[in-house]
Amino acid sequence: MKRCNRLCMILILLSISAGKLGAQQRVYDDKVVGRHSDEVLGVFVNGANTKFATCSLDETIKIWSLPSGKELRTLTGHIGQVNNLSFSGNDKQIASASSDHTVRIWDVESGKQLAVLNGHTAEVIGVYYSQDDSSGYIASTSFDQTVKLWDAKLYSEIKTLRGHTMQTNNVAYSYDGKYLASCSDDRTIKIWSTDMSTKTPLMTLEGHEAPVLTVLYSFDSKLLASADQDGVVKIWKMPAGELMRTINAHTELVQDVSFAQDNQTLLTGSLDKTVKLWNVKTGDNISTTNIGAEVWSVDLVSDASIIVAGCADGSVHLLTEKKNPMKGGK
Amino acid sequence: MKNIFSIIIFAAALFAFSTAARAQIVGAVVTVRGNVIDEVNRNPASVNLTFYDEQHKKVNSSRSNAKDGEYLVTGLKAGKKYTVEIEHPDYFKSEYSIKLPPTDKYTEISRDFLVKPLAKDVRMYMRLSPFEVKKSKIRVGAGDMLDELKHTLVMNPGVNFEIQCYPDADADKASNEKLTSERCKTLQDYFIKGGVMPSRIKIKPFDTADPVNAPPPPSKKMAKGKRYIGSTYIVVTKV
Repeated sequence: MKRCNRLCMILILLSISAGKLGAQQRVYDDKVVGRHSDEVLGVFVNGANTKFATCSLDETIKIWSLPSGKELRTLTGHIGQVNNLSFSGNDKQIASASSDHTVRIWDVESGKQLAVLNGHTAEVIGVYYSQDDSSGYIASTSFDQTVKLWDAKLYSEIKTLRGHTMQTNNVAYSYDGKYLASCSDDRTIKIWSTDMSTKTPLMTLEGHEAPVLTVLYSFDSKLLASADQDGVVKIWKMPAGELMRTINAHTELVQDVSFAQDNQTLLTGSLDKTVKLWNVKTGDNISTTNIGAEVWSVDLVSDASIIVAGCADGSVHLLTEKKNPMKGGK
Repeated sequence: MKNIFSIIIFAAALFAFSTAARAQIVGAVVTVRGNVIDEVNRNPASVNLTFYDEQHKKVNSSRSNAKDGEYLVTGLKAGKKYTVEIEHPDYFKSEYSIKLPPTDKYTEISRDFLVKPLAKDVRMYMRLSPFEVKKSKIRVGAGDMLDELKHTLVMNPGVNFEIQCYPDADADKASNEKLTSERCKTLQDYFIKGGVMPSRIKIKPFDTADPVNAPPPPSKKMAKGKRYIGSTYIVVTKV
């Protein structure tokens, strides 16, 4: 009995220390690797972790190399601020969303503009390429309250999804290609089917108490992260749509989030000037870095060893982990 | 008996055919009703509205009610395009085009109009900003609103006005003035290019934020694409 008690004590101590290890802080070195001439509104790391792209109020898109952070190319063509962007699943194209009411498709290698997708009637604020190898579709969302699905090969509109009652703020494709999630000022998240015919939402997730600014699926499509104007992040179990966890993540609005490849580590960036990593299973904060500038957008390489942040002062930050690197992205 | 029945059927068919044919030839009647509102104080405005067809032939007219600004014009033809001229000594003369739906049955449609008061020192706020945050070029989507304003200014050649632009934040005065000067100049050039005499336009850039439509406090952060954009006004300087 005594031996059993001792064994139990050891097991309890081991589990406590394992828990502490789970919440162990990851530490990053912060370096500004370059700048746009105005606020950086979007960041996206490609699937191979070899490049990232940024977009800005200065109406340009820049492509950078990883891990060096060297600026490779500037893409021009939009005639309004570029609000967001996304690499295609095969890393060959970039789709960008702009206040000039268009979505544009770019060839990553040549920097050439391949297409201009017209159809939204207000600022396009969110865009997401399907992440399958064929990269056949693009989803976009606009202040016109709609979500549009585009054929990325034919450059044509496939369907318009209506249902949100206020401005829609961002959209995400599930990695299995079956669903789209959109979020809105109406404080809801709507889940849509990517099939060609269904135009009504499959489900509406309610629970945020402020406009929902962004949504993102994990790599296994089993989790959905959402973030709002009050700095609150929610994790939903998918496809059930069940709320799993609420994290009071930041003191200012959170405009962007990103999952690491482990489907467990979530990156958040906020106008409170910090970028944070969270374990979504436990809710533990595993890293906080104050980078001294308001953060509009964040992304990371698959193992979270490098974080990229786009800031309101035009700077592009590369945060490199000091030790114990783990893989990720949007 | 059989003959009488045949005659009734024939008469009914003839009536139906002639009605349909008449509707096709003449076009179904459409009625337009709505309210006329003062753009500055949002009160109902009593003005004269005259509808002209595509050959600029007067078709009908109405006077909006002083109580609620309501007007009604009927006898218009489905599928046709009309020009509505609005006139009153207290308001800018203005003109709008209206395209009626192609319907084969009587239809009522609604159309409200905002009218700009015509008096010295009247200050009209542009509810849709012509600019994006921190920018001085005209943003995509603002063209229709500016074209309508430009057309009204051209229709009222005796009116002089001032363009007033405020910055997006109460920050650095030098950069604020640079931005608002460029915005004023952009609008001035736009109106001149559209046919407004240069001598009618003055510009007034401000280097501090608009005290009337003030920006939110710095502590209240706004999301991407929803940021405060400095106000733009058109102020009447001579009538």
